[in-house]
Amino acid sequence: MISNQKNALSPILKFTKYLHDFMIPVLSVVVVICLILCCFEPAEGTNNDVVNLIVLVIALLGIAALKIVNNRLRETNRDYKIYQSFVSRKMDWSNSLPLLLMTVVIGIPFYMLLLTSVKTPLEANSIEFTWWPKEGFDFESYKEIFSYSVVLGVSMLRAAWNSFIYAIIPTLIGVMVSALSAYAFSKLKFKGRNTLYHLLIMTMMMPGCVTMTTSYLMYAWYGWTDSAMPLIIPGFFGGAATVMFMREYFMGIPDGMLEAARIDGAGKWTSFLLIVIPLGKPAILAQFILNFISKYNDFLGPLIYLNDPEKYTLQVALDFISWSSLDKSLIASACVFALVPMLLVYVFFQKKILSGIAMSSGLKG
Amino acid sequence: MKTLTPKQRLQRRDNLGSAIAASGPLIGFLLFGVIPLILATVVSFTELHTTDLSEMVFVGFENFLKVLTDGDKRTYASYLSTIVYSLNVPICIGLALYIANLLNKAKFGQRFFRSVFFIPYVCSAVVIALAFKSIYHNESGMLNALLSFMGFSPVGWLTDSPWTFMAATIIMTVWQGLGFCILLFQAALANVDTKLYEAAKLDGASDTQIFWRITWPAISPTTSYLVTMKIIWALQAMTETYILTTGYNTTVPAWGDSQAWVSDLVVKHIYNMVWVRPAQDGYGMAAAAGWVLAIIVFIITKINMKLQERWVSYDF
Repeated sequence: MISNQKNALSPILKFTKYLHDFMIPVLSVVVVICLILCCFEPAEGTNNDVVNLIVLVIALLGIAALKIVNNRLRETNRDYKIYQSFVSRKMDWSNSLPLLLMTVVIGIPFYMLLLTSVKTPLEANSIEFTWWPKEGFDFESYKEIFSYSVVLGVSMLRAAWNSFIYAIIPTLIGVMVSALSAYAFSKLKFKGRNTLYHLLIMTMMMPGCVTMTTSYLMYAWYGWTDSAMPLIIPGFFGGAATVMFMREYFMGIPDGMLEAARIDGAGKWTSFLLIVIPLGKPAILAQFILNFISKYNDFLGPLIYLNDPEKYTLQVALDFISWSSLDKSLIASACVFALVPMLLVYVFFQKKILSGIAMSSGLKG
Repeated sequence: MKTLTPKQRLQRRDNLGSAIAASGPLIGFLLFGVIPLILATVVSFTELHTTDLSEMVFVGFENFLKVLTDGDKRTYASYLSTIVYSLNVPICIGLALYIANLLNKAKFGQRFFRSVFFIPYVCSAVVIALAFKSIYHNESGMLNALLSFMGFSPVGWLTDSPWTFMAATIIMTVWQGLGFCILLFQAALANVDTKLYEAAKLDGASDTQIFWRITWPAISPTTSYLVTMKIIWALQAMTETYILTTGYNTTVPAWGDSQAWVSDLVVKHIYNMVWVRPAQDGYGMAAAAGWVLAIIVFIITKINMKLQERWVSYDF
């Protein structure tokens, strides 16, 4: 029946339909761009703002005309209405236009970094912006970041190693401690379980802005400042958010399995190691990756606690280079260097990351 | 002393073991969270310019008075910056909802687009800020090149006025935060019962009606979660503006006659008190300012929750 209706439509009506479906997203994008451009002054000696306004008005009129024609046809022509309600689903590829545009916008900063890093220093630092390296590709700056300011003690390789170590050690231990805690909260019965859990939730509300400066005082008192200890040691004890998320997940492990293990003589440790960890692996792995990413990308902590260039992490080293170097291609190469590990992690564990985020926000992704 | 049967003793030991296993993060909090909290309370009533705690001088409420009356014309400016910066929350959430809607309707490339939009989430704020700084650069920036290509005069994004600076910062933050919001919205939209849509269509509801009567209430828990979290993050942000003002761009505009840069959001302002101007402000002021900010965040979150009782529905 549907295919009959499709054929019943005259070519002109069909064309109108195509035009409507195609032009509305295109014109909407034009309107948005014009609206943004309205905020800017025209270049001297031109009247681009007027041109911009004219384009805006034409686009708006176009949208209105298409809508009116479409509605009119839908009201008067039964075939058109049926055709539209069934076929419009298939035709909405043009709705992907904003998505494509968004993809380009997301890509621009990455393109900028790559582009600047492969330009010759002369071109990268010239006043004029070029969309493509005109003087040819130049990978010198990538070599340079490894030797840059070794005199001052900042070496990118060293910083990368530091970043990795400061992130992986607390994450490994912290996630396991959190998993143990989540196991106890979800599967073991003991006195004061709910009280402890509420206390744990309450610790999440601790205001970071208050303790930022006094944590430094505390670590200075411990004698831990100017070392990586404040970045590593607190991570050993896991995090409340991690526990919360894993507890939700562990609740889904059937009690029957643990019962059966207990009857077979397994203690609490054995059932944790042999049942909960293997079954809860997706949650544990997701939390591990997310924690690692956030530790690796942390800037404020290393900035506060690390003074010795030997101990800098990548993020602080980048900050240091952006202060001390005037060569943009060098800065861009350093950025690319710091970015690549995380992009690799993302490419390999994308599913885990996305579902982990969706789950930890209380949604089943 | 009570005598316990062996079974009771075993039970008690069992209880203790489980409790210890459960309280790993709590022990961490006791060791590294409680002390700073107590210190912050004590130090906020004293004057302290070094890390040596024995140099504390009790001054009463003077620090709080200084922060609230804004003697150095920095505090109000930092709060103004933070409020303007918080505009990224509604922009980001609105745009994310729009894109998530399109994504859910898209016939192809759903997963591709979603993964692309999520890439900024895994990138460090430092790298992103450095990339955007080169995009915003006055002469050699891509944005100004694009503007002159379209026939408009270039704008000094990070140098002209506080408003252009904040606009640039907001664009950057929205760019980075979009993926997270899209992901959550997409999951929420996919969970809406399609029968509701079909029923509404049969009753002849328009797309707008369907959105406001079905979609919006159905995803309101997600929206409220995002609003709450993003406001808390925005109020405590710092890295983004910090990096945008380092290095080769150091002429940063200020609000009116304030002595602070527009990039000094409240947390940066607190940071400055200890690590940039320790002689003038010091730890006492910073702790007091931290408490003031914490109380403001708390009040805003409470108001937010009260307001959300009106528009968030959990019936779906």
